[in-house]
Amino acid sequence: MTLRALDFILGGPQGGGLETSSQILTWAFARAGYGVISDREYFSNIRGRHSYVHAEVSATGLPRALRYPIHLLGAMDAETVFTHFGDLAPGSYLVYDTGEEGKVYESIPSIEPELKARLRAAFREAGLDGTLGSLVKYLSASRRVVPVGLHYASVLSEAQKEVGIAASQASRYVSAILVGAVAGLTGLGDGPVSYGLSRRFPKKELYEPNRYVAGAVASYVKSKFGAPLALEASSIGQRELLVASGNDVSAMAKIVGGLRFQSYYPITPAADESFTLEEYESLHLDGFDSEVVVLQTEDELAAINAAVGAALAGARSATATSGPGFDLMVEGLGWAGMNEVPVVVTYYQRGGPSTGQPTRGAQSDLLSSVFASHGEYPRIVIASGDHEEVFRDAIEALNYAERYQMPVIHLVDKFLANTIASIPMPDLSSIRIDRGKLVGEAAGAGGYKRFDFSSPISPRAFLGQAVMWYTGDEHDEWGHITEDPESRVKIMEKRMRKLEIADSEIPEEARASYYGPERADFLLVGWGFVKGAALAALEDLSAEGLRGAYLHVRMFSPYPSRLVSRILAGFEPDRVIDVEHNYTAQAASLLAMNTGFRIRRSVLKFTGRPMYADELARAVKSVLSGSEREVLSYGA
Amino acid sequence: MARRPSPSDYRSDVWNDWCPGCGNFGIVAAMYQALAELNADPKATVVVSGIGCSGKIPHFLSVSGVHTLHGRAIPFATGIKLANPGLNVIVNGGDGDLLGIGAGHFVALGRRNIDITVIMHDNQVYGLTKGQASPTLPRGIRTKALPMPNLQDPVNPVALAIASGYTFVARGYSSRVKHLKDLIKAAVEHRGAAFIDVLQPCVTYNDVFTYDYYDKRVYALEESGWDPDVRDESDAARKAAEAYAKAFEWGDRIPIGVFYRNAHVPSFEDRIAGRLPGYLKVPPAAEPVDSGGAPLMDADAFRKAFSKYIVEIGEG
Amino acid sequence: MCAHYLPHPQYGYMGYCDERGIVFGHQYCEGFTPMSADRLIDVLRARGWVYCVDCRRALFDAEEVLAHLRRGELLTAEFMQDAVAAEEALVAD
Ligand SMILES: Cc1ncc(C[n+]2csc(CCOP(=O)(O)OP(=O)(O)O)c2C)c(N)n1
Ligand code: SF4
Ligand SMILES: [Mg+2]
Ligand SMILES: [Zn+2]
Repeated sequence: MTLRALDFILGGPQGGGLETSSQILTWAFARAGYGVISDREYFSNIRGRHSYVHAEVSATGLPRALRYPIHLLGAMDAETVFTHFGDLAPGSYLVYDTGEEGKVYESIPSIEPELKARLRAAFREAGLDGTLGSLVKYLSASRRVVPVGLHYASVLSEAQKEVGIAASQASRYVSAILVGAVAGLTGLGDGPVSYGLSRRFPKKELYEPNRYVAGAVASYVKSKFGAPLALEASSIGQRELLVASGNDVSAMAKIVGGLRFQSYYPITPAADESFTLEEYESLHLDGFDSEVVVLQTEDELAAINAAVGAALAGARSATATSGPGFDLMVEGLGWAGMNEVPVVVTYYQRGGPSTGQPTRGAQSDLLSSVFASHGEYPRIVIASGDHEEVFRDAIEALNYAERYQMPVIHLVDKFLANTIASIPMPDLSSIRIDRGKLVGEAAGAGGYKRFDFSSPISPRAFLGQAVMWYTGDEHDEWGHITEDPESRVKIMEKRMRKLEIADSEIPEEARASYYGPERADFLLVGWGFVKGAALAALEDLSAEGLRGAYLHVRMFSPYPSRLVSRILAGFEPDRVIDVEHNYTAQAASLLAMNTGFRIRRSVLKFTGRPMYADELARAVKSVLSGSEREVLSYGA
Repeated sequence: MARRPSPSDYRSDVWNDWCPGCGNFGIVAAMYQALAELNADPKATVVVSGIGCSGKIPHFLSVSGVHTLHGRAIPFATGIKLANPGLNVIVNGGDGDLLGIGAGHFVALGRRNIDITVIMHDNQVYGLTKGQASPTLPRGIRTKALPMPNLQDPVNPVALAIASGYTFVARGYSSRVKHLKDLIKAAVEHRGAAFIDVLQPCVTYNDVFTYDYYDKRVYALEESGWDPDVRDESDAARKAAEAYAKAFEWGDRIPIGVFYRNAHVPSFEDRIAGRLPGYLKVPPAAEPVDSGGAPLMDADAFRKAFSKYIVEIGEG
Repeated sequence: MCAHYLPHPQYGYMGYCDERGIVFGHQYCEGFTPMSADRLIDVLRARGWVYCVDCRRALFDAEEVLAHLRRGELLTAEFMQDAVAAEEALVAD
């Protein structure tokens, strides 16, 4: 029997080669024509704590969500097995190092005390002695897990004899062991595996020994188990795929969108985007030239304000940050709102408040994005739900900023940022670049009113094209300070009217999407990364005869109130369920504020781990049978 | 240009609401004169200010002005200048603005050596919030509005600028307008981060450091034979150390003039140009981003640029 | 206008006489020393500005100064000390 989709986890110590295994396998599966999504879960730590990659590979589509239980766990160390054994499905496979069988969980310092306490209880109940060996025996006997034990040290000394191993790269070969084991169990061909390896190791000196290790392990595993987790042939029908993290997709989109200036101060999970931009800061391909100034500033105060300055000078300009950095940017954002500056903030949400859960995901900064600041000014807030949306939205954010002359916040969550997904190649021919109303040199010296009251969106000249003034104080048409009460009313209305114009011009269909049958029995309402889990959960539920739909909100300011109200009107109030990654159901509050509809049921998760399709489906069933609030917590 | 501009060409018609007698009038006068003598193009000149009495200065000038946030004039100026290095960018800030709330940015500008001129209105007080102590007010001094003498030690602006890496560091006095005008001209003409600490009497809140106080004490460095210039790169550290020591001369005699000037450090713009070959020719502000509404990048260019992320489905 | 008269920054009708050390209204006494145009221009050159108390404006060039002087307006680059204004002012920005 072959699988339509495979869920697996690879785990190991941070910095120990996990990223390499995962990259190689992602490329290899994509090469073989499968859709892949892979989420990285890691601690705020550089080396040594447990991290893991949870991936789904699909033969029938490009997956956007993850599921439990898993078919395969590849463990670099004992801690991985102690952490994830509960995730294994009956009949699943556990790849582990037999050299670690004597390891006792109590003696592993990186396991957090809470998990140790849970393990203590579980081991007591199962009558285990605390060693990895006893756990593996138990899993095999009572849970029908198939152990795939390999003696990692022997594999490596074998490789040392055969091909030689560079000491400084030794952990690379542990990566290759897992690659080989997964390839063997899934029957992934030699071709794709070599492809993945050669992309990761373009240099022969590294490629050859890794190829050797992966190949040896794969053929051993295949000979012993016979590819029990083989996927059916792919029916995805793509010729090529873009395989990238949300951070990288956003960076690529910004370059396509004509970004010319990005400032940033390092913060997880946003900094990777700026790194990628810097990697591509200077592109000169025949017929295409793009240069981007990427400035690492001294703090986020400087990051936002330098981005605003660059925008005043006429550069398409953005900054990228996460919660703590955004908090520091708020005053600058208000200045941009006051002065009608087109600037984009790519906001990668992580768990808060304070430093919070620096490496974990969340959707708890929605209200802050929409409301943060003293005073009132118009802003556009977009939220992306998958990698394809990130690509579109990153470009639209730059367009909206210039068209409506206001700051745009582009919300992405850590789940998206760090998840690597395979998506179709973007269709660049459908993309438009809109710079809004520009007057250029025609503004003339001395006679140019930057905030000309004759229309809400005043034609814009860049610094250098005319003499103009800006001030964060309330100002007149010229940009000079005025405290006149009547003038205040005029300019407030001018600024705020722009949001109404945006509301009338941006199609609501681009701001909220409905997925599902025309008549459904219940409606999930979500945003951001919830999209993938919601759609996958609905598929599972419809297989059980429950007909649901999903309303995906993509813009929170201006809010698509009419469309959302219309969709909500088709459902019994009790059959509408809010789904989000936060404690207080923030999107439901905004929905109520904009539509008057109060969602009374919710499924929430705020552990920092993504929502899984299976747990969401279960929670929806509980809600449909009466529960008002389900709080999810699955995932290590 | 038909005629050479006069200082009054650089005045806007916004009413200047500084307290009568304020030292800021001398600073703005020096700017009118300097801009005229530099024949500054009003469109290509951008005065960026923070918040404070000093922060209002762009409104009194007829060149472009960006009146920003308290402490953030330097980051705004940085973005403006890096997006369009062809602009002449001048920052005016208060001592609280630049060395209190914005001190981090002050240091960062020195490290980058961006071609920006920073003029600090040093009145030892927070003028616009009613005379609290600023970071340049010495310990133990009680200016008019302070309920108690100042507990904090002052930062030495000239020394801090030298330590931060500014390549032009000077001190002026608002009531020596010709001298200050010459400093501003030299600072603008210097390619790199330039800083002028301007002693500026606040007639409303500072009854200690008054016109009278300074008139009796200031002397011009250049008249005392001081040589601020780093002539040879290997001499930079020694010159900086001497200027640093000189910065602490304060009391009966207070030096004004150029303390330190080093033309050998590459500007940030030149450093960027080392990585972005088109940067100085077509700066970010002028580089096209579309062709008739379509992105410049087509599928082909995308494939080439981002091949690292593309997986062709296939066998081998 | 007397050269010894340092007007109050807001109320030009009173000032300080730096000759006699007293505050008085802007009337003439036997020590009246007319403020000469040359002296005002010298002050302008040194300080960069001269303030016209009547117009409540700083003047930055010589012709302007002379024009206000011709109109008989009260010009100065130095004011009498007002130690209490600070107590009356409210906060800003
Ligand atoms: C973030 C912030 N904090 C506080 C203030 C209030 N504030 C306005 S001006 C000022 C101090 C001004 O002092 P200084 O920078 O020395 O300028 P001066 O008025 O003396 O020229 C302060 C604290 C503000 N505007 N913004
Ligand atoms: S308070 Fe001081 S610094 Fe501010 S305008 Fe008045 S005199 Fe000048
Ligand atoms: Mg001050
Ligand atoms: Zn007058």
